[in-house]
Amino acid sequence: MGDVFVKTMIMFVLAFIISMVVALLIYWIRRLLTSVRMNSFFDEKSKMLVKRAISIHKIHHRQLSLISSEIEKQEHPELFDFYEGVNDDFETSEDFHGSLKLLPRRKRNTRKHKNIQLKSK
Amino acid sequence: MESLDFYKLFQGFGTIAASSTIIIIARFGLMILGALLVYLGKRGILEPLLMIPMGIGMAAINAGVMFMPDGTMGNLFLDPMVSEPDQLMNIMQIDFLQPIYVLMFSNGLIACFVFMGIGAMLDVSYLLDRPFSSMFLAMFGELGTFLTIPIAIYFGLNIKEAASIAMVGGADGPMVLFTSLSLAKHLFVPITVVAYLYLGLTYGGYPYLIRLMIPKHIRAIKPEQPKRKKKPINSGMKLTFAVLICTVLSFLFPVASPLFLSLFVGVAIKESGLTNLLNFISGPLLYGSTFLLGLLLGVLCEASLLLDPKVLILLILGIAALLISGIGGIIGGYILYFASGKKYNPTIGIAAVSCVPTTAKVAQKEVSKVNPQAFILPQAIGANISGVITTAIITGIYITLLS
Repeated sequence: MGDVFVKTMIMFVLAFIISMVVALLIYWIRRLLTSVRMNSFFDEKSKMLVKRAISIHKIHHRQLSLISSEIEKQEHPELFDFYEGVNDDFETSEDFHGSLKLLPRRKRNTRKHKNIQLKSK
Repeated sequence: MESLDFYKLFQGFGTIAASSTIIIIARFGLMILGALLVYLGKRGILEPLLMIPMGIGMAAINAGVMFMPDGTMGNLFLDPMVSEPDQLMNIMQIDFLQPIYVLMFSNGLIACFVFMGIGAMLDVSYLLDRPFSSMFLAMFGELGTFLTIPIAIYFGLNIKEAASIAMVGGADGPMVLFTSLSLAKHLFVPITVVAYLYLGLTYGGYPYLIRLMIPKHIRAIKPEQPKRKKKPINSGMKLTFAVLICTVLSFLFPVASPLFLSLFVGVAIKESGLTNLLNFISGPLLYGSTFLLGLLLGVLCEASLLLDPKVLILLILGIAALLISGIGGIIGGYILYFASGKKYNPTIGIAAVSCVPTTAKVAQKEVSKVNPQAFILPQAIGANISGVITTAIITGIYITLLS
């Protein structure tokens, strides 16, 4: 009788663990399905938005790549002079016209940022 | 002209006269019970879709006993005990329900058809919204499936028989059918009959359990709206979910894969917008299968078949399993109620007992009685679907570990 009870409890724990794994799986599938990329696969409007975002990002990235580190160094020597290297307390920020400005480094919402960051060619 | 034999002319009287007292009492008892089931189904106390064909079938099989050419007593409905191929072929040409029993019932096809119909009516977005709480509740709603095993062993059943009858606690007809076919084929008929009989009773019995365990003011709790609005889930996502989860669960539990396929193919048809197929699955297929299921269950309730000494034990264990599962579901609901700072309605817990969609309907009905503004059906359906998944998981575990 005791053996049966122990066996039953083992089966219960096993079923509980598997159920929670399945719940985690369902959670991941939901996250995957509602992500921006996947959402664009299901929804025509989102598809257009993502295409537009990608093209804007490409143009943006092309503009950035034009600014070489040498030019940056010439225009903003304070970035490099402070500790005879790169100054971590400041960061460059780009305005709409593509010109760089020096601003104190701020904490970014990296997760949100990661979602829209796409690999450039 | 030969002398007229009254007992040969009216074989109902003849078979009564030739039967033992116990069989006579059981036959009349089952005829009356059949009529009672029809009445309770009509009144809406028990599930009418199942109870009306079942009740009339039960009354007819116990009334329609006759003398067969070889002198034994039998009927022209079906014989569930025949398994020899030659005998089976012969009997399929005589008993009118035998082909349906052999080709649809005993292999679980009818249960799969019912599952397809249920899948076609389900909205999986409720499960996608709250997977953890739904699965947590579902595990508590399976308590009877586990705790009945030691009780059944105490009553003298072996572990395979105990697991088969304990599956009644999952309140999922097709799973009970499947487990008893795999683990205790000799008890397949009584266990299936007991299971479906009690599944009909959940509709009438669980409201009393809810009222007994949950006070009115707690039952009246309105579910809290999520603070952060979740992204909407469209039909394409639900379809993808159905395909993914069906594949993964079938991969994990091949023994329950026919049931996963049946459930999720219904979901896939619904979400893919195939209106004609959807109308067929959720209409003629579902209702036709439910009708045949009820009728077959009724005609399986023949007195001589149910007078197995183990049947009485199975009746007790079946009701114990469902009762423990119901209590477990409500306990799970209470755990979430306290964990959420008394904002969660524990009545949702009863819907974790996976009798889709009866228990969800029962939960909503009981909540609406005390607070018409409280709408718990989405959460209840989520718990309900999770219950189906956990029952399939447990079926897989039992068949894998015990067979």
